[in-house]
Amino acid sequence: MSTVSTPSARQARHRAGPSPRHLSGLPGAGHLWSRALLLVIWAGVPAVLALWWQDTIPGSLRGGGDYVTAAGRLSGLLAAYLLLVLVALMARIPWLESRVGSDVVARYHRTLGEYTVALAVAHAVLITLGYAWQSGTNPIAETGTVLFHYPDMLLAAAALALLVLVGVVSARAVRRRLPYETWYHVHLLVYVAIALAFAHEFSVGADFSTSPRNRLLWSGAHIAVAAAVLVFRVVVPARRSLHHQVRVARVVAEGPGVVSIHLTGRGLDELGAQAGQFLRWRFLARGLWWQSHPYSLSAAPERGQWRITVKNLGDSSAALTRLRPGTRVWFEGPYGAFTEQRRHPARKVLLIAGGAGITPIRALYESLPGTGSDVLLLYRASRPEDLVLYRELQDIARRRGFGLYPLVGPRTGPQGDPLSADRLRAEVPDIAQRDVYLCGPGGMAEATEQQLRRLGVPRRRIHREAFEF
Amino acid sequence: MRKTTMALLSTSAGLALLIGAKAESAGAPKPALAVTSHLPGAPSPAGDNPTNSAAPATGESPPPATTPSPGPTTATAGGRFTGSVVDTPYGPVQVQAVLSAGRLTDVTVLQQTRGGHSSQIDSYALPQLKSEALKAQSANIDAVSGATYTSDGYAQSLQAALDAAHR
Repeated sequence: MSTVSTPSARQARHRAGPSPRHLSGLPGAGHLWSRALLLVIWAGVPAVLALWWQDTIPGSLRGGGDYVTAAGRLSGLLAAYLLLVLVALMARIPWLESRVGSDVVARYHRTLGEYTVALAVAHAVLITLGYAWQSGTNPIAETGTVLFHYPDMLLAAAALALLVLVGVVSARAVRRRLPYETWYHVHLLVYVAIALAFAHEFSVGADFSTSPRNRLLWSGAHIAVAAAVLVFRVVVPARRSLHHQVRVARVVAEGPGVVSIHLTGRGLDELGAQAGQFLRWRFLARGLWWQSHPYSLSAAPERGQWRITVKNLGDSSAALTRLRPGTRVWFEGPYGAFTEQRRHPARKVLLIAGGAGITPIRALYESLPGTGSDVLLLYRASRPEDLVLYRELQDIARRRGFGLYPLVGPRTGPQGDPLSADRLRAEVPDIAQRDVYLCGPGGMAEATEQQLRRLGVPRRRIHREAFEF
Repeated sequence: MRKTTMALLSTSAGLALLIGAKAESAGAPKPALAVTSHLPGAPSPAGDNPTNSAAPATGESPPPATTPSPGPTTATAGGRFTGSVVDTPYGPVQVQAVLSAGRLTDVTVLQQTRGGHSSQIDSYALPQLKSEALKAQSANIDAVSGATYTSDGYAQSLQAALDAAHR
């Protein structure tokens, strides 16, 4: 491996401060906010369970069938609540996007999403089994009865089918094989599913059919989430796009299949975009206008100029390489908490980039304060030609004296994974004292985070940006 | 995936506990009810004819309303008044009216229909009937669609209970 600038490891350790133990007691800002978010989500659960508790007639639970039905009702209530939470998480609420961080929110959304779909399926199965048990019919006949004789149940069944579909396209194995747009657009069906399911919640859901107060609260929650989606996903982006008039300024080839797109617009600085953040872009060109993609700023934003760098992955990103200057661009954002604020100001920083993950890292590398060994960059790629933007990185390293380590080669090479714990420790001896920013493909980021944890880097000091949404 | 499985397992455990707790909590007030309302089988100081909960479909329908248990029946009735056992094709229905200063404040279900789809029908019909009764302050309530037998039985039993209260 070649080293552009070698930091002195000994010096680095000294400058980490006299009492790292003391400092490590301070959680990173993002960490605290994500705790708060979890707390808010959890707070709704007892409230939802209380609905059932209040409305269940004492003494009506008298046998196995009653218990199974009760479990079905409870899982239905929980699933409906969590669906609302899932949509709220993705409503691009500014507090969530920049304080908690889009990556954290997306991770919660992913984990909770899987769980919620399972709960919704359990709700349907348990209710059907419970009813069949109570009435002594067989579950298949009971399914027919429930579907056709109870109000709004066909709509609810359609909603369940949509939810399962969304769950399937999000399963890792399927997701990998699908184009981003397919996955994204299928996901929008969740809105339809929630609308379809809503009717049966009021007509057969005993907790709502009998209580105007509960109906009011429940509708209120739905309206609030719908309003958030409308405002933050539609109104704000539309207003900003119209006001700032962003256009493609020029498209610069950076290497095989990689282009940088420079963008200009009116008063972009007002938006306060920061290095490390990303935006969702919708290029108003033929074949592209109907899809939007998240791309990080690949340079620190300055003087009304933005830049993104896109790798041709064979899908719609191929069309981006042929964009013409002057093309209008709609955008959402800036989003993301993968910024300077995530780190502790007294700590040194290690940046780790894998492949296309270099884009936000490149922007941070350029703009993080410090000198010399304060900032190190490990840049992982399978082949030398995959080191995108490398010339620029060298320039920054030279100008600011930062360390730059390219780690090229296959994971299964003679020296083993370049991002293994041993290699990382050899490269960066004071790694456990640093704030680590990590961005790369899912598998690489996952594996690297584990290695970092083994080296004693606490989770709150590992900052990840994920592009899985 | 593993996380989700764990979450689902702990959810099942949590819900099982919750349902168990609810079933238990429902069991607790029963003895108290039995004392105050002269449930079938309970010793009845007022000497009302004992109804039989094991075979409620005997030929005593409609049985006379039972007497109010606590407190004297004054003009402003208060206390719990048990309604008659009303037989339906799906079994007996019996309710108890709770009055406070002449106002109907609660209706408790003592017996509900069994068999067929009655359990699930009752699960949405009974709460609806109760809220209607509380709103109307009488047994003059509309039948819940799809739950005609339960509604009729409910209304009759409630009427008997209210009659007892105002006697």
